[in-house]
Amino acid sequence: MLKLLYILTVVFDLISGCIAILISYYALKAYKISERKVFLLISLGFLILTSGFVGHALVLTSILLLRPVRIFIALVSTYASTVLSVSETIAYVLIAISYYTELKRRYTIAALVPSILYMGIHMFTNTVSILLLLYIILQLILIHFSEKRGSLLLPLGFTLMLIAHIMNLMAFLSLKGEFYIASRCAYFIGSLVLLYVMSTVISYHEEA
Amino acid sequence: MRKRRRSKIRIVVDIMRVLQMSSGAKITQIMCEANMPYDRLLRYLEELKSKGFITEKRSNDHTLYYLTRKGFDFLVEFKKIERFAKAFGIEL
Repeated sequence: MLKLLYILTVVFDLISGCIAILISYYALKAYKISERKVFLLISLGFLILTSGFVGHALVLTSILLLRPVRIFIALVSTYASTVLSVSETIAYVLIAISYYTELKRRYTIAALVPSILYMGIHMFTNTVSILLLLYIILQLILIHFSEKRGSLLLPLGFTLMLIAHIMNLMAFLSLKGEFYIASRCAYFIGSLVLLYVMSTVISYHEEA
Repeated sequence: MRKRRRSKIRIVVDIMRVLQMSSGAKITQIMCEANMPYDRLLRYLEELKSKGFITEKRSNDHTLYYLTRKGFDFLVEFKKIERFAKAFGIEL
């Protein structure tokens, strides 16, 4: 099963690499003809993407051929996936910069820049918050059930906050006000739950 | 709405396309069809000649400009790049 997964990944990586190198080549050609930096950035971006895909495919192929010990497979494939993710991020940054310069050139709307920046930051912070909240909730549930410690109200409060962040992201992506209102309500209820937990903590201290 | 200025590559391609359409064009014809003033057109024609994309033939009273094989190949290549740029939403 794992072997089949590796083979499929290698095939997909190689196909993706071929497509990316083709785009990179055409973008380079376009740069040579038009001397516009936007094409150079796209070319570089896709070249980095290609190197990531090919590198990943090569590592997986060597694992398939050499069949090393299991721990070595896990280590190497994890590192290869990390390198691929980093290369993907760098590539997307370069491609995003190229489109930013293109948009700036075409419209030169100064107001658009901060709003795009805001959109990016907003989506990024929301996504990070969602991931962190998921981690917190999982930890709290794990502690509650494995060690019989902590109240279930705390994960409930954080879950409501998680829902609020998801709805906020949905509101942002769909531009629907209802989601935003629901997100604010969920966040408020979540805060109330946390406040209740805190009030029990404070009253416990007072009683003691 | 104000019309956008043509990029250098667009101007060059416009000139070359005039030559592609006609088998030998006079400078006045290129001026009209590529929408270029005389002095600027002369500069572009010189550049294209130096790159080997066009060639000129002088007869008694006028000069005719022709597209070379290299020029034809460049236009074919440009067409591909134009499609690529369009697909990526980038203006040439």
